[in-house]
Parts: sequence; structure tokens; C-alpha cells
Amino acid sequence: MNGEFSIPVPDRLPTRISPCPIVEAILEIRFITSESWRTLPGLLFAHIRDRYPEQKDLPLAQLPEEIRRREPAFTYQPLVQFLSRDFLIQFGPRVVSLVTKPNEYPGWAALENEMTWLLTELQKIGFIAEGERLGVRYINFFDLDIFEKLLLDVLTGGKRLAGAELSIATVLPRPPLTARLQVVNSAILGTGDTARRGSVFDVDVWLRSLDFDLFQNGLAKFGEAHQFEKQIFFGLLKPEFLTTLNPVYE
Amino acid sequence: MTTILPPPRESVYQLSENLRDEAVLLGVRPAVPSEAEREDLLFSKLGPKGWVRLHHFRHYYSAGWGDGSGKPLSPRALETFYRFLEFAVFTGGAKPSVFLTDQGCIELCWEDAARKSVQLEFRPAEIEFFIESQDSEGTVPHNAMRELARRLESI
Repeated sequence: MNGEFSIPVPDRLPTRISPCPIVEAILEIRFITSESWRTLPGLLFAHIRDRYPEQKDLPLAQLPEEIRRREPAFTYQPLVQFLSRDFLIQFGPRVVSLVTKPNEYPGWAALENEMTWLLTELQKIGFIAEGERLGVRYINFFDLDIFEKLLLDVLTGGKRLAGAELSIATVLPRPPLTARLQVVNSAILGTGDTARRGSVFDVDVWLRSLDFDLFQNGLAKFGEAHQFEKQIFFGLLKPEFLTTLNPVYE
Repeated sequence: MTTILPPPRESVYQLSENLRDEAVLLGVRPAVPSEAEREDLLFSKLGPKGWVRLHHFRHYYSAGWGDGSGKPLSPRALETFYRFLEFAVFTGGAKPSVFLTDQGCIELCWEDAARKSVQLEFRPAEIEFFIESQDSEGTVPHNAMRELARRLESI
């Protein structure tokens, strides 16, 4: 166990659990560029079209550029998606992210391989002047009240708050990494034509601009952020609950 | 007239109706972690004018600002600048002026207690300094911001 961090980190972490609760995994790069947005989708598409042949505009792309630029909430939002069989790439004026298909998490090795390829292509294109933030986000979904299965309680008057609709968000710093954890026991998951009600365990881990150099050590930093995300996830699961998820260790 | 913009991101999940925060729709949203502290820091060290100017540099100066060749604010320069401010003490109650350079770097200028000029330029990998009272100029790496702040305390 790790004595410094507030979450107990297991000595070893599973490489796989089943059923897999991961709905979506996102590797995100925020950046600055001197290129105009008008040219960027074409530049990227020219390099990735063999692997990502389908292109789709997102709703925000309909807004005039001037309005998007003046609303800080839109700064890091993607405007375009490129789709392949296994992944999608989301792209905006200040962000590019590699996203797994909903409920089809292929494992870290496959995700890391794809990001290795994407980083190589991004470096070739050369529009990223500087990385601003490097992030790894995992969204997990459970068909049960996840708070009963976690080493995480909300107390009122010294008593555990149980059975209520509950959403908590907290920031867990472990410099240079920062994580934002959101746990909700009353969420609606919309994938395809179905909507399921249950719990979400959402961890977003990131590094700030001075703590990574995208084309020098970006891949290693994605790995470190992913490892921190796993420590938070598995550190918060009650051991008896983890056992029911058939963990595989390698 | 009320205009509703499209949601910024299509998430794979939504909170149940009872847990949804309507304040988000009214334009109130939680600060990015540590952003509130940094806003306080900016306000206390640079005053309202400096705070407003930096807000504009961050949000409204994109590539091509000015005569068309201005570069956007460098995230690494900004991060170095924030970390420097944590240690900086501006003598004589000075509130430095803040500028965005054509290269996307941040420049701080003020006069020390002896009314001598001090200039710092925060770049992606280093800080350039000019201290008139010490007839000194040069650069230090970005991770030396603490030592630089300490040096400036004594003027």
C-alpha cells in the first residue's frame, strides 16, 4: 500500500476485468497552433484517411467561428470526428483526442499502439506548436449502486449516506499529475438506441504544459497518467467486489 | 431574448434529472481545478488591470492577432509565469504591467523602489530578465523561477 496518497493503492493492478465496465477511454492532447482552423481538418485527414476514412461534423461546427472563439466553454471542444473500425479521433482548433468506440474497450496495449501511430502522424503534419495539456480519461459504468462497492463514503452527522441519489466530484493531485474523479450512482448511459440507468465512475487524469513534451515523452506520459487512473480505480474498489469482476493479473 | 447554445460536448452519460445542475445552463460552471487560486494570485499580485489583460490574452488572442503574425499565448510560458507569481514579491507595492509579445510570450514590466526598470519575459523554456538597478540581463531556465523571484525581492 502507498502511505502518501489518500487512496490505498493495491500492490498489483489487474490488466483485465470481466465484465469490462469501461464505456469510453479518451487520450486527449490540448495544444496551440499558428494554423487557421479552416485548413486543419484537411491537413489531418490527408494523413489519416486510410485508417479513418469517415468524417463527421459535430453540432458545434455549425456555430460561426467568432462565437465559438468568444465562449471559453467551447475552447477545447472538438468540431470534427474521424472514424475507423476500432477508434475515433475527435478534432478541434485546440484539441485532438483518440477515443475508443462505446463499450468496445480494446485494452491499453491497443490504445497505446494507436496513439503511437497518431503521434507520429501529428508530428509529421507539424501544426502543433506546443502541447498545453495531456489527458487520459476513463468512463466506467455499473448497473448497480457503485457507492456500496467502494472504499468511499459520504457521511452526514457521522452516518453513512446510503440509498440517496448521489454525485460526488473531487480533485486528487499527485504532482505533476492531477486527477478529477466523479462518481454518480444515478446516471443515464446512452449508447446507440438504448438508455441504461446505473452508476458512473469517471476518472480524468492530466499533466500541465510544463510537465510533458509531446513529441519527446508524450507516450510515456500517457502511460503514467493511465497508471495513475488505474491506481485510483482499483484502489477504491472493495476487494470483495473486485473479486466478482474476475481480475486477470499478468 | 434568450439564446441557447448547443451543449459543448456530447457525453456518453448524463446525470439523472434530480442530480443535474441547472446553474450550468445559466453560465455558472465549476472552475478548472486550481484556476480559482490562480485567479486570486493574479488579482493580488497584478491588480484588476493585470487580471483583465491576462484574461484577454488567454481567451481572445488567437493565432494572427495584431498585424496578422501574432502567435497565440504559449501554455508553457503561461505556466512558468503562474509558478513565478507564487514566489514573487514586488517591492514598493508595485503592480507590474503585463503584455503579450508577438511570439506568444508574457512580459512583465515595473519599476522597483528606486524607480529603476525591471523586465521579465516568460518564454516556453526560459525566462529572460533585465534588472536596471543591477545592470544585469540574461536568461534562466523555467525551473529557476523561484531563485529569480528571490533575487528580485532584494531590489
